[in-house]
Amino acid sequence: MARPGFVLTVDDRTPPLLVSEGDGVRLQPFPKGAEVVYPPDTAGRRVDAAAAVAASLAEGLDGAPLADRLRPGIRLTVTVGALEQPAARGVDVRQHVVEQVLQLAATAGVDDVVVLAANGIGPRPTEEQLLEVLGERVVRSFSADGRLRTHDALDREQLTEVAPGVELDARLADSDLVVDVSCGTGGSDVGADLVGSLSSLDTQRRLHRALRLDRVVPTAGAEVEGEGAAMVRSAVEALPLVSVRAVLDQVVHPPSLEFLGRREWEWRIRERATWFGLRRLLEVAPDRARRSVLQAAPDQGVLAVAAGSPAAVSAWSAGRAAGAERVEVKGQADVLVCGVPHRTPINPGTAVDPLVAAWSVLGRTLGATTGAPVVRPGGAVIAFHPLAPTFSARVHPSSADFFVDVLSTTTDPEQMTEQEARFAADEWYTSLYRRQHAWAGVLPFQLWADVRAGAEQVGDVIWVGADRASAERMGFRAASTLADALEIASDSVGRSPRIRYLHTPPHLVADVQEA
Amino acid sequence: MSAPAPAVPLLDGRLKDLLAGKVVVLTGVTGFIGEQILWKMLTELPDTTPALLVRPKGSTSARDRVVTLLKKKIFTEVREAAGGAEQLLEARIRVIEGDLPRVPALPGDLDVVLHCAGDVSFDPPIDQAFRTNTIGTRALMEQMLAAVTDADGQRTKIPHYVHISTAYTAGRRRGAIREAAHEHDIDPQAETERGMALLELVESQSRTAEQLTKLRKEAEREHRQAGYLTTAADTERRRKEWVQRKLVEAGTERARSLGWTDVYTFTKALGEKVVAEVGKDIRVSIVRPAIVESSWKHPYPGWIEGFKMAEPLILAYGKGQLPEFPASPDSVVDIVPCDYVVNAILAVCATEPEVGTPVYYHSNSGARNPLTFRDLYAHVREYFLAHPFEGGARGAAALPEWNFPGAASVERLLFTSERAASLADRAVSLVPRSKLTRKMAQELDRTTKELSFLRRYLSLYNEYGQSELHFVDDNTLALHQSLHPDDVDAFAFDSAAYDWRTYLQDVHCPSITAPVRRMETLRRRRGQRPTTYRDLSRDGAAGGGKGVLAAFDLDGTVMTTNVVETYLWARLPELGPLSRAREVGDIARRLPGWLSAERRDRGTFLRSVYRRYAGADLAALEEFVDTAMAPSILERVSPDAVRRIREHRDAGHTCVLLTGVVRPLTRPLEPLFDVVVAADLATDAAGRCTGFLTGPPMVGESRSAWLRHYAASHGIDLQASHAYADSHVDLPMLSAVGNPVAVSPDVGLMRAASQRQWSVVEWRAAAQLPRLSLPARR
Repeated sequence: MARPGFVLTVDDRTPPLLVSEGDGVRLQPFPKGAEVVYPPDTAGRRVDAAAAVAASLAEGLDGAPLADRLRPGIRLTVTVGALEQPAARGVDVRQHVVEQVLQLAATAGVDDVVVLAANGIGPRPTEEQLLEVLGERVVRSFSADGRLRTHDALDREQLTEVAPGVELDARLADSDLVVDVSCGTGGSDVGADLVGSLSSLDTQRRLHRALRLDRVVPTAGAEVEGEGAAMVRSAVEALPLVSVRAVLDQVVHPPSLEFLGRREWEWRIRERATWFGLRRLLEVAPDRARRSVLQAAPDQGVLAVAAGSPAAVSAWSAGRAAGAERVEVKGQADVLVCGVPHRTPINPGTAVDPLVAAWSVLGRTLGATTGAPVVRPGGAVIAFHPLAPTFSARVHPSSADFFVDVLSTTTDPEQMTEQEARFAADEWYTSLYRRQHAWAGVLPFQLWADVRAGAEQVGDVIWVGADRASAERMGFRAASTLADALEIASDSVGRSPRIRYLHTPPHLVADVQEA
Repeated sequence: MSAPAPAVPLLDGRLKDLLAGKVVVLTGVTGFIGEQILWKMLTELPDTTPALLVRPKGSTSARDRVVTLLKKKIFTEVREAAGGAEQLLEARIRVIEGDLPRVPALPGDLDVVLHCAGDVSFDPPIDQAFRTNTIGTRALMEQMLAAVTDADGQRTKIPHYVHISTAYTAGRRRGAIREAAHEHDIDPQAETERGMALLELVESQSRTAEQLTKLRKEAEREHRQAGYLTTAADTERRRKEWVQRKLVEAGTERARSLGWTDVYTFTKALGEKVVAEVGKDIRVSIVRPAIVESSWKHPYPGWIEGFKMAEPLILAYGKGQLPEFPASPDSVVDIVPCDYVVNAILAVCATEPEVGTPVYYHSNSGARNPLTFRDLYAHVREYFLAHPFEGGARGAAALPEWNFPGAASVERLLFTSERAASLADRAVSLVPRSKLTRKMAQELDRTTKELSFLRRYLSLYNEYGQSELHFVDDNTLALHQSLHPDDVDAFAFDSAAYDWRTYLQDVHCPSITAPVRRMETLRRRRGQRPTTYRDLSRDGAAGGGKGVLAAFDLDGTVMTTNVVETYLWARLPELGPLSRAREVGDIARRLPGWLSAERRDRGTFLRSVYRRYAGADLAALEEFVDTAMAPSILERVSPDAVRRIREHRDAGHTCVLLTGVVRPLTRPLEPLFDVVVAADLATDAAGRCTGFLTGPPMVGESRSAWLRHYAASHGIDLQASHAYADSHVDLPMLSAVGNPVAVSPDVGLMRAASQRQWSVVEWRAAAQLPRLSLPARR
């Protein structure tokens, strides 16, 4: 297993610690006594991806090899998910899976095969992206006759109801076998991912809402199923589904900057020099150049691959995640400090805009726990991001409008339903989603609902180094330094709060134990 | 000065009695002094009949102009006593409709002709100066003589002609100036004819090929991109300005060559000579006021109409815009309150000078109550220190301290500043546009405005600031002393009777700053923002958006890119590495030529770039745009622009994209617009681009022409329509609609926009792909 994560208590000898702030990084001194939670280090435990894929297909988690389910004449659909995951250097693991599945299918005499990119309400993959993820061979032989498709959540003709209230891509329902291919660093409910990324806009919106409610209002006792889980289960049961999932290691930085993912006191001389150069570069470089430095493709390797029923694969990935992501902490803190990683599932290739930053902190980092939140109810969250109100017109066309038109009138998701319906039906967003490579118009509403749900668990949310107007518009506060932010928070958490800094990325899941 | 001054005719009774039953023909009643003379006659001289010679203005008749005049505040009391302006006019006034120098017949029963019409400007064009001051005066006097001459050529009566001149007819003389005719041997008639001939000459010169070419080139430098018509209109404007300037220069130089400061005083001096000559066998008085400023007492302290000589300088000083003044600190500023001048004139009207001996009066203060430049400065400074202008957001302006370093040093300072400003202006026109450039240009414009203000006033007043003239006012004083004791209160004009501190600090400065303060308050309340950027939220309801269009420019407005960049995106990916390098190198080599071509004519520039599309497969190009280039294009689209376009669509407006770029590149934006007007690449039979366009590119004036045509054929109201563009080339397009908005404009458009009160907005695209990344090659 990985080198486990741990909790460092800041003392006199602790150097300034790395904090990500979207399109930048800084070394930030922390007050003495603050807890710093480091994620486990998964580097150096890679397996041979091609061999691991072959092994998992030959022997599924539930014992049966995939080949057994392939017969001549069946309709096979391979769905490729986790499109937000950058393609690996060299051959991506998804390409290995798809190619091997297609090989098995060819051997078994399966002719009717469709490869479906599961982008949900996210941007359609560009041709370039498909080539990186699937490889030239698959793209060339499938795209010519339309057998390599992108899911379209708005194309009424391609959608069908597979379970009550769940509309999915019609090809899934028509198939005799669906192989769902995905990859990622942590645990994941592969069934929910599949339903979320291959459903109609309407289903996706309801699922998103239901899953959030499942999380926020934990149902009493694990036996009672939430609405979201029920939707997922009914849909998955209706499909002849085999999931294949690869667990990737937690490398999030490009090779030359890999040290940024390691513990600061372990940086070598050369890396310190690189850091020095990087700082200078980031200071003078324009936003776009900064992003291309930090978002350069990391060299992510494969740790394990498994295939089987969605439930089995989900359980397996959760088990893997315990070792790769989980860190045990004692009790809830008064103040949570966290950075904003340069890459989130929402912003590949684009800037971390204020909505994405807020979502990353309040929707993602704050919720990444096994149970109780890392910060006490009413505690403060201090995050690092400039919150400059620049939005990508290409990828997030509706976010700029949401920020200007919607957030200026209300920050309450309940009062946004009318506008959400308007954004969902908007012709321009629709055309950008269906013909270009943009998120659907409802994205900012979903991000914002997650943000508010997170913000309601805590008291003050303070952004260090942030644009004051942006922070205020979102209902947050801005501070120029960490010390000022703590000063602002002292009203609610006192003069000597218990501070906890989640040292991400890489992503970590906090396991909060009784103090 | 050989002849002894003639004995001054004095007053021997109340003015109202002396002037009772008399008919006074008055010119210039719509002017500053004339208005108060009329007021004084109506209020203090009940039995005198003013006959007003008034020029009809446009469609307003002379009578209506007098009625409007009588509705002014100062006439309130006398108007109400008569029961209204019309009634007052019926009861007391005669109106003679006419003009100088085309003077109509004057009434035969006239007793006094009071000529106080004249230019207010110091530097009128030479023809205008002569027309008013010599030709006009002669024409008026000749009509006066005709009116009092019967059919047999016999004088029926001897009228009294009172001429209002100026003390500065003394010209560049020095020392004491007596109240007598100035000695010179210039023939007014000959000088007038020569002066008038200059008008023809300069007009002809302005139409020579050389001159027109020069003016056209100047106009082109600024407006060529906008098109021929805009350039032509500007050329004609420049020609008129040039004529005007030449005539002004001719006047000034002629005046200086004969010993006068400017053409105003020069022609006024010649006018006096005309008066003496034509009036040799009637009664003639000539009143020479110095610098007439606001009233001391009547109709109320501080009464003034419009801005006179010193006000622009005083106001500029109060605004902190006059860093120094080239005056001698000890030279006398000969200011006299308006009511003192008016009183003196009416007293003169009541005298009976000897026939054939004109009597001269100086109406001034310098003789017995001198105010030096230093005193004036001190009083004005003290006033503004106590009552500063509210300076808006930046607080009150700092008042400069004058050291009176002398004319040469002020001139040097001004010259250096002007040089610097003109160099900076050149620099600003060359640097690429940005928010910073715009800010620099704005500051530069402000400086240039201040400098040209300084230049104008300094060159006008330079001589007055150093004048060492000393006007003697013995005649005026004698006349004042002969006032009936009961008249002294209403008709006083002894310049020693007031003190400058009170006059300047409590009367004059408050009076002239009041309208400026009112304006400032108004402007603050209204806000500074021009409002052609309208709120559209209410337009959509009730089909209000019908018949309205919104025209958008593409490059720089909706999208931050340019045709060269998009060309490279479109062409490079299909080339091999070597050809790519060659293409880029070739374009880099041509770029300077293109840039200068763009400055001259955008159409030529576009054509030369589009020529390079020759050989490209149009269908493939379109597909390439749709698949690979669309992200790069959308990336550079400004969200603000898209939001605005959508607001227009929601409001039901017809959205039009007017652009010179080739049509394939507009494809990703097509869903946003109802109409896309772009350049179409011509293709050969095989569908390959020939490098030519199917029609001229849509730039400059062709856009406004297109808009007008489209509006006419689709029932669109252009006055209610909107347009958005970023560069000076788009001026015609913006001018064609009622709500033009300049978007992140270049300096040229920014200047045009602020001049025309158009909204300026900043639309930014946050492009997030590195600038040099190319769309992927397939």
